[in-house]
Amino acid sequence: MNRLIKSIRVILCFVFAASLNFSAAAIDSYKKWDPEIVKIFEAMPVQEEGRLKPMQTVARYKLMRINNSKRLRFEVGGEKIKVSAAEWLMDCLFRPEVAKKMPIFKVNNPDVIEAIGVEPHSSPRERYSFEEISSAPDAMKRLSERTGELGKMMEDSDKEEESKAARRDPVNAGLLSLKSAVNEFEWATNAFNFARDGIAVDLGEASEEFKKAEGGKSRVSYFLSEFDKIIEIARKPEGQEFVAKISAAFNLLERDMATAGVKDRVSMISLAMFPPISDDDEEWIKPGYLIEQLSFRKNELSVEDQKKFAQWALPKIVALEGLTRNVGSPSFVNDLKALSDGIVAKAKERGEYKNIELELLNNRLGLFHWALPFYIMAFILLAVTWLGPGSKISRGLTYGVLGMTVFATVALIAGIYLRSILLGRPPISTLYETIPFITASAVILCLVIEFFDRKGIALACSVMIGIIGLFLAMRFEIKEARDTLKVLEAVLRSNFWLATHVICINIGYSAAILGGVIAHLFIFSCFFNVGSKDFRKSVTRMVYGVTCFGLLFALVGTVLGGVWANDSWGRFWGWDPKENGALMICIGAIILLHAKMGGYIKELGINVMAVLILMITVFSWWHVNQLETGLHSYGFTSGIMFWLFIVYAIESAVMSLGLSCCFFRFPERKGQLGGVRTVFSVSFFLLAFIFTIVFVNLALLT
Amino acid sequence: MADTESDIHKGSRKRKSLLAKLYDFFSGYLLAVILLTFLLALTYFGTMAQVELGLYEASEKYFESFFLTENIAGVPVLLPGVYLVSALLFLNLTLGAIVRVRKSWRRPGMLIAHSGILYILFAGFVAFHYTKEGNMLLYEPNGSDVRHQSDEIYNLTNWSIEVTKYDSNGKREFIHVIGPDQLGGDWEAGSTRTYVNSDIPFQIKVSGYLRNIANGKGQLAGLLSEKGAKDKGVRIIEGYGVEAVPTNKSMEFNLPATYIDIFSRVGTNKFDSESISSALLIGSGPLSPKPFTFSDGDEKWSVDLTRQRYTLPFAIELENFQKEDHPGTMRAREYSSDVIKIDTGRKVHISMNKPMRDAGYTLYQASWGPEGARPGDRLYTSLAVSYNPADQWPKYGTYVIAIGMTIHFVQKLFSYLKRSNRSRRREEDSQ
Repeated sequence: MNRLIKSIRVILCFVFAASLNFSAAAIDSYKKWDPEIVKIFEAMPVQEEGRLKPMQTVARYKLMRINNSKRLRFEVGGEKIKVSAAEWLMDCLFRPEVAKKMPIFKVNNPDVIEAIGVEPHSSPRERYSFEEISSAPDAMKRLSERTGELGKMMEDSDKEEESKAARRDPVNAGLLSLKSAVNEFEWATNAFNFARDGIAVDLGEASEEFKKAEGGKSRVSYFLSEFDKIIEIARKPEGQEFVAKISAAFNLLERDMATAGVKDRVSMISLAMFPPISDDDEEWIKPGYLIEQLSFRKNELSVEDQKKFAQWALPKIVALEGLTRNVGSPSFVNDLKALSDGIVAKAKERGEYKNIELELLNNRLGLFHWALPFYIMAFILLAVTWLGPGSKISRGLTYGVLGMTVFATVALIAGIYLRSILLGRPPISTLYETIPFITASAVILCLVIEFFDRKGIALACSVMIGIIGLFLAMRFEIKEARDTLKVLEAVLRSNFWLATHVICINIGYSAAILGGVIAHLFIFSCFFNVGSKDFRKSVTRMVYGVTCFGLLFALVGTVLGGVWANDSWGRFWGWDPKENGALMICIGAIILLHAKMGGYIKELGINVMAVLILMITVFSWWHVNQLETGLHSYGFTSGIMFWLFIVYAIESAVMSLGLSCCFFRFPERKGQLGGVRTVFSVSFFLLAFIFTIVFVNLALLT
Repeated sequence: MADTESDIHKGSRKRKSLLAKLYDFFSGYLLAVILLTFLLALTYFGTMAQVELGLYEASEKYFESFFLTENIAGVPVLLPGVYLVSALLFLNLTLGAIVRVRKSWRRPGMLIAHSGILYILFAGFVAFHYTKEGNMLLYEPNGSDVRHQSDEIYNLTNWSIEVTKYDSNGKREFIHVIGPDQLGGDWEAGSTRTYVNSDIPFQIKVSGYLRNIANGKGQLAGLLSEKGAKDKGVRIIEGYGVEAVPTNKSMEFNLPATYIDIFSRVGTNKFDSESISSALLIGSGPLSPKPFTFSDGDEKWSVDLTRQRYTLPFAIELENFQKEDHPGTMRAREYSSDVIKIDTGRKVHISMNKPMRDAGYTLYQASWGPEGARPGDRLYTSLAVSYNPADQWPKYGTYVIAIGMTIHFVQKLFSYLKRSNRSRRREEDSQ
């Protein structure tokens, strides 16, 4: 029950998030970044997860993983401050002492924060700063120990079940999530340590050899430029004293180098921000690699290449040193611009920059986020029209609803189109991408039905589907907190199959969902005895038509999936859970059509079946991905089982409401029901009712 | 199945013969709805069962069976398997949607669509019974090494015992295979099976066959030392014994083991009571076969527990293997193999989604290895090979279904629009 209450609270929190998300913070002052600096920084290209993207995108998802939001909000002396993701990342990289004071870590469960010995805040909405957590005695140590134990258990294949059970524990799950956020934050604040802090020893004091040099003797750039000399001195018989003096500096440099990201270690948290020296190389360079190649791995290159590499790499390190040591000075903006211009020019020369500007535009427009308020406004207007149906005002407002819905849908389609252009492939290849596509398809289908039917039924459904779909997309993006513009695995890199099988199957999903949503209207109309017979007839006709449409696409899409699998894996059908889910949608729709043609179901039966198909579609779309088995295991999302069971429970309840109409709402039909049919009706009603209770229980147990 | 059930009843008031009633039932909507409901339930049960059983066992239980028992709310219920349901559905579809249906050239859509579904069901039947599949592993060229050639494929899930005779030069003379069907089924504790063949001068007694002795990490967790085997009362051969390890959900990761005893032939159907040789066989991979060898008189023999092997009618040589990751990641962007078909010299580039088709066989780019290879390591390509007479049939079936359904639904839409326009005009006229 607590979980249910908590979940309802989460929804309410989300609705009012914009106004309620400010937290009581311990930060005493905050100086905003110059907008020009932010603009330059946001547009800098970075290679991450196999793709070149603007720094803005990188910052957004990093912040989202820690803070569950694309923005940071806090108060300083009663003043509400909003910090964009890019500004926050700049704070981490260039002003870590400020970033550590920002309230950023979201810990909903007070037991989690108590488990590491930190005093919990009075409100779970209030974030914790890094300083707050790290200053509590042994908090970081406890966090590492607890998560380390869980990590060991996860690696042990003999403890698979035990590990799964341990991870299901809310405190353990919270600790793992907090540890991951702390790691990500620590990386961000330590990434430029090498440039800011240097090598922690003045070479001029360590050896007479460097006495004459002018300034910067503790800088990494100086250390690297003199690396050969350092090694030479260290190798001399009298070099032991010198080695003793600089050995600690060496260790620190090695640590900072690793934090800044070396080449062979695949790390998602390092910034690959420099285009490679060779035009044939695709992999961009992380700052740590520059240090590594100029020091520890220097001998891998010929003397000639060493010189070339030093000429190319040292100015980059010097530039980062300049930036990190001159934060707040007037020259900062020019230094950043110079660094950025160099990177951008090289990226343009390599033909890699063309999509960066488009992605920045896509980020700025946030078309999916813009569409949602318009659907909400359309819904409010629609609700107003229901107050005076048939009146002139109501008819006028209906045009308003239509206009807003069309506008929101155009924004949605434009958003999908922009993503396609950015990735150079058809619009769907990840679980996230199915959400806006299915939403857009269902809304367009509704608008087409409304064009023919003109009774406002499909229009109402389009608005509701638009709101639910975009809300789901937003929550999913925050929950995953990973860039939604992904590069594809080898097997998925086929634009032909993505454009045929995937599109077909998702249109099938959208039609199946739409059929189920429209069927709700019929069931509520029957149960609450509202709406005319004509209304119910229209609804049933729509459900039937949409089911036929959906079956065509689902069936063709499913079989095309088999044909694709035959070309990729050498087998047409492998009983993979995702394939089975799609097949179940087809079977459900075929049962509906044949039961109707056989005369076994009438209006009510068609609508109840449509709700069942909606449940099957939810199972196929989301649930099978949670089974952690099969070839389509790309879409596992933790923590959604609770919501799936809630959806199943609601839909089972709707089905039982519908089936109850056989007895309570149409008593005159009782006589018409034959013995066998009555038994079936009662059985299905009881089944739906029992399943409602079962699903509620499962949700509470999850 | 164009007539509704009520239409059928209206037109058949007079008493029907049993045969006619049976025909009505087998071609009717009622059976179609019942079978489809079973198919829906079985697909759901089979999908959920994969979590516990894995794909292979769940498929065997739900999708390849005639009957099965399912625990529903703790009560065991006998259900028909998908194989049986599909066969009945094929019959129902043929009788109802092709034979009995009222045929009209004005409404051809459903007839075409149902024909397409029948075609796909038939393709499924042919593929299920006649497909041969396996994997071929070929190492990439390595400097002066001779290029890796092969004409053999290995099934990843089925195991067999190969009995090989060698000539005096150590070359294979012939191979006798004890196939997966002979090794399958339940092996209760202490049970043994004996295998004889007229070409083989001895009898092989297989005992204690275990489907898996490897854990999830590929370690031989079920291989016991002499002491461990003694403590557990397990048979020991050459200092080792074996015990079963729970089978892996991914069937290809299971490694079987068994004890064998060889008895010399002393008469037409008589064998010595004393074994001439005994061994503990552990499943071997395709690239590292370690057969157990022994001599019977002057003849040299080997017995090997190996993945079921097929020989292709042609050999393949790997010319080049390319693997490309997305920059800065370990996610494969593309991997492909350039191969040469030895007998004809045909060169083919096999990549993901672009298989090679030849002589009824299809070779797909499946995977590569070894796992965790570092830059510079010698890689191998893994080609999935299948022989399926119905390979492209589902594709043609899809076209037929799509055409049929499109014709039908477009006709339906137009007649609906006509009706709506008519009723709207009627409403306007009445106003």
